[in-house]
Order: sequence, then C-alpha cells, then structure tokens
Amino acid sequence: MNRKTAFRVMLSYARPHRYTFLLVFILAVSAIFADLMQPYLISILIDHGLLSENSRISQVIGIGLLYLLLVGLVFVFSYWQANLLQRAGQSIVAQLRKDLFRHITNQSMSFFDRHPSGSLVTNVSSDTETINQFFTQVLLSIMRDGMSLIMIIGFMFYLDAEMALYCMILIPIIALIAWAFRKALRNAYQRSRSQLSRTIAFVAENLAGMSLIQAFHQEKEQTEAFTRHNRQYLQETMREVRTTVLFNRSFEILGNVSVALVVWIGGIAVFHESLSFGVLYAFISYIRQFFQPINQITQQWNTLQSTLVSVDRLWRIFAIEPEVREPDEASAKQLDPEQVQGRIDFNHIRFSYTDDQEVLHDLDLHVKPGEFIGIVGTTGAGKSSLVNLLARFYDVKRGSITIDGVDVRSLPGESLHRLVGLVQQEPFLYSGTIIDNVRLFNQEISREDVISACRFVGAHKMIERLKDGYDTRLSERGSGLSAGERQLLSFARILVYQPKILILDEATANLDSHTEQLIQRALRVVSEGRTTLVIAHRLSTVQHADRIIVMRSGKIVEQGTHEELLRLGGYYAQLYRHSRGHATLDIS
Amino acid sequence: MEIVYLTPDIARFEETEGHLLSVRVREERHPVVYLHCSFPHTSKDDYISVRTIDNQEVGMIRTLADFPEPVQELLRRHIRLRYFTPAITRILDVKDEFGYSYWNVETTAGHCQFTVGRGNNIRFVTGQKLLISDVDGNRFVIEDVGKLSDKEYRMIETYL
Repeated sequence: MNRKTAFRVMLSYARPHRYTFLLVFILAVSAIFADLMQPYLISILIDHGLLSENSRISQVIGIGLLYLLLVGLVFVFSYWQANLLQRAGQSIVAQLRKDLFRHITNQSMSFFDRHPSGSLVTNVSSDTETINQFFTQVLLSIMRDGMSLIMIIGFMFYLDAEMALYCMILIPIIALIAWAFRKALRNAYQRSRSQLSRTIAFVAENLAGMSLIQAFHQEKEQTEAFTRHNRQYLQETMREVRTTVLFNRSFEILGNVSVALVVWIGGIAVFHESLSFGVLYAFISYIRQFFQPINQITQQWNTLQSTLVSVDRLWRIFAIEPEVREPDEASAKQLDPEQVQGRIDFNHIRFSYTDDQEVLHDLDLHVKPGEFIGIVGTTGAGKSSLVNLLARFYDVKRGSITIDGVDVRSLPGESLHRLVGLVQQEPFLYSGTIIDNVRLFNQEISREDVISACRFVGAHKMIERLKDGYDTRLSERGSGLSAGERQLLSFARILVYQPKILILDEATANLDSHTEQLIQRALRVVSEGRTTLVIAHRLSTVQHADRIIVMRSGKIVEQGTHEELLRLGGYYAQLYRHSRGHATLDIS
Repeated sequence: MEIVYLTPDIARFEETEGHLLSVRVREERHPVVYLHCSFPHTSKDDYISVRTIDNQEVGMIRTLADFPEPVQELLRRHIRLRYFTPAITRILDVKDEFGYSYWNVETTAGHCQFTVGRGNNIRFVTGQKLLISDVDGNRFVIEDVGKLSDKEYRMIETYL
C-alpha cells in the first residue's frame, strides 16, 4: 500500500464524521468572518462616526455594541468549532486504535516474532495520537487559516484594490522565507525526535537490566553514557528552538516592515485624500492578521510530516494479513468437546520460521487418546515448534496435524483452543484479581468451580493466606506471586476450562525442587483423562510418561518409555547421564 | 482433595467465654477457629473458610444464608472483627505533601485522620470500591466512588 492510498484510507475514517466536519467548517468560516468584520467596523466608526461632521453618539454606541456582539460571536463559534473538532478527532482515533488492536490480536505468532512489542505499543499509542493531531490541528489549520487568509485578501480588495495589490507583493517574499525555513525546521525536528527516541530507549534498556548493571558495578559507565545521550538531546533541542525562533522572528520582522509599508503608502494616500483614515486603520489591522495564518500553517508542517510517517507505519501493519487464517464457514468443522477422544496425529509435517531454514523435517508422530507424552531434546531440537503447531500459533508448511482425524486448520480458533490447553514456562497473568485470572474473566464459571480447581492443584492454601483471598488484585504479569504460585494458577485455569488436550511447554523450568513437586502433583491431577504433551529440559518431569519422544535437529530420533530408552543406550541415555552429571553431552 | 462444606447439620458454631469462635464438626471439636473470606470484597457472605489457628482448613461455609439467623449474626460479627475496615462516608480534606497524602474523613467508625504513603496503597478492589491502606496498615474503603460528591471526587481524583 503506497502512502497516497494509506492516506486515503485514513481519511475514510473521517467519513462517518463528515457532517461534523461540515459544521466545523461553517463555524470556522463564521468565526473568521466575525473576527475580520471587527477592523471593518472600526473603519466605518472612524470615517462615518468620529471624523464625520454629522456624527451622532447613538451611531457610535450602536457600532460599539455591534463590535461587542462580534467579539461574543467569535467566542461562541470558536468554542463549538474546537469542541466538535476534538470530538470528531478523538472518535476517529478511538476507532483507529480499536481496529489496530483487533488487527494485531488476530495476527499469528510469526507476526509477533517479527514485530517487537515495544514497536507495537508505539503504533497503538504514539502513531494514533499523531493522527489525532492531524485531524485536530493540521486539518483545522489548513481549513481555518486557509479560509482566514482568503477572507483577509477579500476584505482588502473590497476596501481598496490598489492598496491590496501593494500588499500582495509580500506573498512571494513570505513564500520564499517559508520555503527556506521548511527544510531546516524539518531537519531540526527529526534530529531532536530521533535523539529523544535514542535517549528513551537507553533509559528503558537500563531500567530493564538494572540488576545486571548493579551486579557488575556499571553505574558510573551507564551514567556517563546517559549524560552523552542527554547532552546530545539538549543540543538537538536547542538547534530546533533556534531554528523555530529565527523563523518566527523573521516573520515578525516581515510583519512590522509590512505595517510600515502600509502606513507609508496608505499615509500618502490619506494625505492626498484618495484613501480614508478608517480604511487605512483597517488595512493596518488586516496586514497584521495576514501573517498569523501563514505562520500557523507553516508550523503544522512538522505535524504533517510526522502524520505521514505514522500513517506509513500504521498501514504497513494493517496491510499484513495473518498467516494463520480462520477456516471459512463452508470448510469449518466442529468437534464436540464432550465427545473428543484426544487422538493427535502429526502426519509427516515440515515447518520453518523462515524460508531458508527448516525446523521440523518430515516429522511423523501419533498420540493415542489419554496418552502422557514427554518430549525431550536440546535447545533448538524443535520441541516447542511441535506444540506451537498443534495450538496453531503457526501452520505447517507441509503435512497435517489432526485431532480425532480433523485437521486443526479446519477447526475455528475458538473451538481449537477450547480443546487444547497450554501452560507455558512463564504463565501470563493479567492485572486483575486471582479469580479473574483463573476463569479468565468468564463469569459463567462459578466461584465454586474456581475454588475447587485451585484446591485440586494445591493453590487454595496459598490464596487463603493472602489477606484479600481470591479477590487479591495481581499487578501486571502477576508480580507479587512467586513463579511457582503463578504456575499453580495457570494449572487451575486448565482445570476450570477442562481442555481435552494439555500441553506443558517447559512449565517446570525455573522452579525450585519443592515447587516442582507441587507442580508435579498438580500435573498428575490435571493430566488424568487428558492427552498430555509435556516438554521438559528436566528429565525427571517426564520420567513417568507413557512414552518419551526424543528430538534432535527437528526429527524424532528415539521414542519409548524411560526404561526402554535407557536400555537402548542411545541419545536419551546420554541426556539422562548428562542430567545426572555423569557424562558430557555431545550436541554436535 | 474434596472441599468439606460446613452445613448446620454437621457444624455447630459457638462463642467461647473469651469471645473466640469455636466449632464442632460432627464429633470433632475445634476450640478456636477463625473465618477467612475467600472473596472479602466481592462476596463477603459466600465461601468462607473456617480455619484453625494452625491455618488448617476445617471446612468451608458455602454461604452464611445456609445457617440460622443467630449463627449468621455470630459469624458476621467475627468476620467484622477480622476484616475491620471502616467505610468512608464523607471526605473532609485530603492534602498531599512530599509523597504522602493526609486524609481527614468521616467513617462508619467515626471521625478519622490518617496518612497514606505512595505506592499501591490506594486501589480499586471492584469497579467502584476503593481500598485505602494507611501507613500503619489500617484499611479504609470507599464503597462506591461514583457516589462521592463532585468536591470529594476532585479531592481524591489524582490518587485513582
């Protein structure tokens, strides 16, 4: 999608608000008209009221009251114009954020492999905010200040065409200055923004790795590095400020020169009585106002540049189609969770994250209903890829994966994830209460079911020790609970949701042996009557599995029970001896 | 593994002479027990864990309504004692100084002044219910923030 198309799509978000924008336009024009009428009214007051021999006080009071009315009208029109425009702008951005969030959540995992979460957060927050600024500032400026400029010129020509033509000489000079400064302003703005991003990134990285910095006594070095970033940002900001001030002052000087020019030429005309004093006064006011809209429009240039960059970034995200697609209604199949046996077949599957490196090579694995399968192997053997394919975070490149004979690609996501429960190494907990986290905000699951599930996995005692029990609010990612406690909650979640197939991906890694025992006990409970696939580095976790699958470089090299594999004396036996510290592992 | 739910048929609650709570479950007597609400903020009357002083669960009360009125009253009194949390009925003044906020309020337990430190000491426990913990660990609640007057809301708005 090119920038022009992206921009057109962005403007399509404004379509539902077209009547609001029309109203804003009418209000803006009315406000400008009421504003520009004021010098004209003063010129009438001077020529026909104060300097006229037939002047009457009632006429002066009348014009004065009319002037006050105009001031009031400008206030009312501007107030409503700003309110309506903000409402439309914020609504557009709210809709844009909603669409973007939905689009991101519908993406497959490969998308998240390529897009770091930090950059997505920027997309959802900063880029959409820049677009808000486009609607509420840039568009307003183009509309209001553009109309203002046209109407000032109109008033000038209406009052005195010759004087107006003299003033028009200024337009090429203004255009020249604006053009000369435009590039310098943009460069200065971009340089300071880039330096700010670098400084923020540096701070974020340091905060994330603070323990490491302190452990290695790197505080001084990091402070010096931060000082350099900070100084650079200060210099870039000062450069931006200098350019902006220079531009604004140049405009101000030009404005004053213009006023002098009008006074000079107009003054001569007044002396020769070819121009009235009132009209000269009005011209001086208009020439002063003439520079404001030009200045405003020029200042929006930077915002427009940022908007173009943001639109570009956002629509690059919007243009990405999810690799894992939901089956269409005609080909979608359903499996009744009550009737599912839990048989899994990996039929000669091939898979790669990138085009040039295959991770799983023609892997064939058949799991019986209710079977407890342990999957072992060194890092990079393809264990996690295997279960990620079953949970359909990715799709196989060749072959198929079926549950009870139904291809997972023909199962709607909701149906598949009701069948397949996944417990990961670092269980994700939302900021919410414990009960919310166990039943995942699903109010249909009763409190009693949650308590029973927590009791079954051994989490109830821990929860009851907390002052607020199941109402305890967990902060982001469940901080405040230990890794084991978080894992117990994720087991309780599995019990509550009753999936027929259970996947544990390194769920017991990083746990101390006492907590691992608790988890092992919980695992025995939750795996009962379910087809269970357990990936474990720690072989003791899967020692009692019905079958252990040993993987190496994307292939199954051995399989059997713990005893069978030890008797075989192959790769598993080597891994086992290594885990007990009796041998060196050959991982070539 | 199964939860033992205490019902009037199997559990008899009594108050000891020292105003402690005891329970007899079938034939077994637990001389001192305390009540722990599983949902102290969202459902205080339901799923109450009855525990010994050694933190062993004797059983659970599914709901207080299962018990006769006098027993309900006895259990509620003990819950009130354990979860003593005055509800703020009127906010008179809140001042902020050096990261601490100084509250001057009327509560269901009378007029009260307390100090709240920075951090996670003021937090919503339900959509509208605000829990405030002071520097001494005392807890106060505002049952429904939506019911505060505009003036009161403005005083606490920055802490929400």
